[in-house]
Amino acid sequence: MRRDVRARRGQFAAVVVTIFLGLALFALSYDAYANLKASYQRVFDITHFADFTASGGDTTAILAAGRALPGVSTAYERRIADVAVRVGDHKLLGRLVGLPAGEQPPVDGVIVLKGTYLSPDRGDGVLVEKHMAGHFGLRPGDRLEALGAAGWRPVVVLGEAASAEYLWPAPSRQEILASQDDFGVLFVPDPLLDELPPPSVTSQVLFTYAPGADRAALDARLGETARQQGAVDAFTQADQPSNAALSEDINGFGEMAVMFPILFLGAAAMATYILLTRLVLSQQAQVGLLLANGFGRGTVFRHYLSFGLSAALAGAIPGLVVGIVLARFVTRLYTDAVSVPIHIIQFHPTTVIVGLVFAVVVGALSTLAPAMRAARLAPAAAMRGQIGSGHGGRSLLERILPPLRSLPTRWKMVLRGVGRNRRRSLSTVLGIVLAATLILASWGMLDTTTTLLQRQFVDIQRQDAEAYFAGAGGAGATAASATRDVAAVAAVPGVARAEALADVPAAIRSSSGMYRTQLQAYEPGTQLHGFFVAGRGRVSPPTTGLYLGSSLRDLLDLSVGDEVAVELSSLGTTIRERVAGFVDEPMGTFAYLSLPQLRSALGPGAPEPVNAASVKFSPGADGAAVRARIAGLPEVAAVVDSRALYTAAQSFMGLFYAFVGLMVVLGAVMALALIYTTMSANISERLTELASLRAAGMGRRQLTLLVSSENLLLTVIGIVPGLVIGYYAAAAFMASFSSDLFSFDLALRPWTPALVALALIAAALLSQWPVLRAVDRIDIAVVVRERST
Amino acid sequence: MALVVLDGAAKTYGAGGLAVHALRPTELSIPAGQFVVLLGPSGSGKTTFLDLVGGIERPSSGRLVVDGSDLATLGPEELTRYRREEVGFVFQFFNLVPTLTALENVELMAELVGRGDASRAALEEVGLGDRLDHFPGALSGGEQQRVAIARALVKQPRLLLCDEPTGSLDLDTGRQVLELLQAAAREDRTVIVVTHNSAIAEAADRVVRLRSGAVVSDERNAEPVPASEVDW
Repeated sequence: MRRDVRARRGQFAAVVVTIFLGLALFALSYDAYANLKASYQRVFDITHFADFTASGGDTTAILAAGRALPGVSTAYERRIADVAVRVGDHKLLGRLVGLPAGEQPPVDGVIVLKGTYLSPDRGDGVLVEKHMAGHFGLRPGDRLEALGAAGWRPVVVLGEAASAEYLWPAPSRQEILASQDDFGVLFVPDPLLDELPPPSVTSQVLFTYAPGADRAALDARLGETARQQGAVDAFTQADQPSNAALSEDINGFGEMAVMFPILFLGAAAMATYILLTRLVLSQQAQVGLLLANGFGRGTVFRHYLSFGLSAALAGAIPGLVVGIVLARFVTRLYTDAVSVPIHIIQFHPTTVIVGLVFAVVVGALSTLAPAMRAARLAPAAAMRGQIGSGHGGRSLLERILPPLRSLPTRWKMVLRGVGRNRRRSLSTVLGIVLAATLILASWGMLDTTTTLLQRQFVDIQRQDAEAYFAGAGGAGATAASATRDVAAVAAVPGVARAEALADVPAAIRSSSGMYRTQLQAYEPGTQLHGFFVAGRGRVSPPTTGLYLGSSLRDLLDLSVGDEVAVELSSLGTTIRERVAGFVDEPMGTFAYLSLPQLRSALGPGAPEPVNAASVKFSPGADGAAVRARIAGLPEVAAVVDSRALYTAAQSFMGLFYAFVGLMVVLGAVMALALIYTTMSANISERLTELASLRAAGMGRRQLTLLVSSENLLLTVIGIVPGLVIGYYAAAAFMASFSSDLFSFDLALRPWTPALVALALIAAALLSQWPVLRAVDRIDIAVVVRERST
Repeated sequence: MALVVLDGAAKTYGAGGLAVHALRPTELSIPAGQFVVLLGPSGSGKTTFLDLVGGIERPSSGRLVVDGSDLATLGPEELTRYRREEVGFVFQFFNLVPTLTALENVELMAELVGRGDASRAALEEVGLGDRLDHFPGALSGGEQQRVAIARALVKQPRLLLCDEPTGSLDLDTGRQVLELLQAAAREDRTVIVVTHNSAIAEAADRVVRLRSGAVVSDERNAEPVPASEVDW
């Protein structure tokens, strides 16, 4: 076997490399997935992350009802508030979470990373959430302010903390991407919340479940209880905004741990099959001789089977080692990037066991047929070389396109070479399909994300910022005061346009269920928000009826024309509206109305709904300076910089480019290995006839062109279905990430399939090079006298 | 006038103590239209002789002139052109392309020299006019060898070089092939056949025996036997 390996070391290496990559990526993905899950779970366990959270409504009743449920281990009430916070001159929206001073709460505690926990002796002492502390460089002893009922209330930083609720600091499920300039979290002594404007403070009830409890049943029961008791929001641990966002990422690792082995080991299996089949054919005379001399068929079978297993293990063992080592690195990198305070990096024996089983199964299955064929050879026929390879017949292309029969004979030889060994050709085509699928699915993800970000932040969200008013929701808030506030913003130098905006929490209720989101109401003819309805493209802002995010079509089983109830807790009322359309928006699932329509639905005497202004800066204006001027207005509590969100989202694209680049390289390597193996087998089978053509006077270049053309033709045949399957795989892959938080409809740029095809053709050309060199250096005198096998 | 002249041409593989003198310096002339059989045991140098004349190998020393051109001085591209235009090869195992029909196998070579139209006639001349569209897998050994001969002859080479052309064939089929080779020689083509089979020598105009890389005898056949009467 060693001699066989040495004689075919290039092909053996190609198989080994493919298996190596498959197992390395499997180990990397699987271990990273397991480590990240363990790291998150550790944070959840230490902090007693709530299994269920209900906000608002009759929290006393919710608490009592929940406590009485079997399976609920802890029920705890707390308060949170969203108010303006000032760090130096910078205003942002602050989420203040009330905690007991002196001891951690029984649910949703924090991990103190620096400084000390809240103290009963320091009523003004707060903990700053890790992201906010890092962004503003806040340390114990630093001072900041929260906008209380009586004006700016100074507080002192006691320490820095991490929380399971804000590993990904999202204000809400609908605002998953938040700039750290605009949103931060403080953990404050609960009594401090008494100093804040009452409408900004919300009571919450948090529950944890006992081990072994029926989580789904408890989720349903508590959800119903929360609804009955008028809660404005209720979510399970899985739906908690930070956990939901991070789970998408972790699940991505889990999916890759399945996808990579399938792709790479599939390609390796095909390459091994091709290699072994060719090996058996070329050695059939020797095998016949051994069988004729009394060697057992079992011995022959085991010999060839061991070849495949050797290749599998030769690739799997180093692949697993490398993958496991890289997983530790990736886990650390990821937990640092997301600021997870605990890094659990463990060795998982399952990874090694599963990986080795994968490899052995693939190695065995791919060599089974050729090994059995070898064991079943008829010795006499094998020794006489009567068991040949290849057969005559016109190619499929010639039969489909008769004009091809008029081609010069050398090109007919190329066409028919493709079908010369159908199983080998099919294996090669399948390998190309796999490679194309891998590359196109990855590239498709990049295209989709780029396109959707552009759509979200350029076509849909056309504003540069949103300014939230300090007086909104207060007793003095009226239409007139709102108009004055908007005018004040519009008057800021550098502001080209300011429109009134109502942006309030809403629960959309249909006969099939309820969904909590934000209702946004715009001025008629707004220029600062684009509405795109599925099947209709860009449409005018709603004048009658409600536009809803397209996810709600299925989530709430709604159609255009259906009536829904819209509960507006911050406005203390419920309105009823008809669905006018479903908007396709990549991020979030919102509800939209026109402002006049909202005011009409609310009725006379209702609270003023306008609480913000949508702002467009003047072309060429210094965005940061304009933002600062707007934030400096006494009318403005906080400014959300939309461009900063876009920039933050685009900053993640660097990772995407790296990921896609890696996938393109890996896909090309896969294609390269397979084509090289196929081509080597093709050439070794035809050396005699190629040497004869050289002997007859066919030039070197012409011969290598013909050989090369045959392999490129096979590659192109694989590229076409590969792109089609890759397209659907990409669509399915993107759809797997879609939820009400993100809508990932595949959006391939027109030139992407062409680029993928070019990448594969380049890989095919590169893989041919060593084999074509061998063709170039055929020893004509020797080879013409060999018998073809 | 001699078509092929070996003027001290020799071929050595390796160097120093490991050198193998596959063909020692040889002096030999072969005129056009002569049917020559090279006889000798394995390792005698007959195959090397054929490879040198066919331009597959280059002499290590000496001159090998074919129709005025010294093959020893030709570069790889020139040797390729020489083989394309002047030489036809026939091998023991036929070496046909299995995915091409008999006609297409001949056309493949004919198109190299712009004589694709002559392929059908070439096959008819070897008695395969009714097997044009058959693939090699459907042809007998003799038929395959006749295709190989047609393939070699369609280029109208001046030299037809055959290495054990009857080695894989039975007596009757071998005779048919031998007949074709004799006919080719009568068309003023130089035919050189390498073989172990001394019976074939009876059909040749000239028999050159080699041993250990050297010519040990060079005899003319006054009356070559018709191929149909050769017996082995």
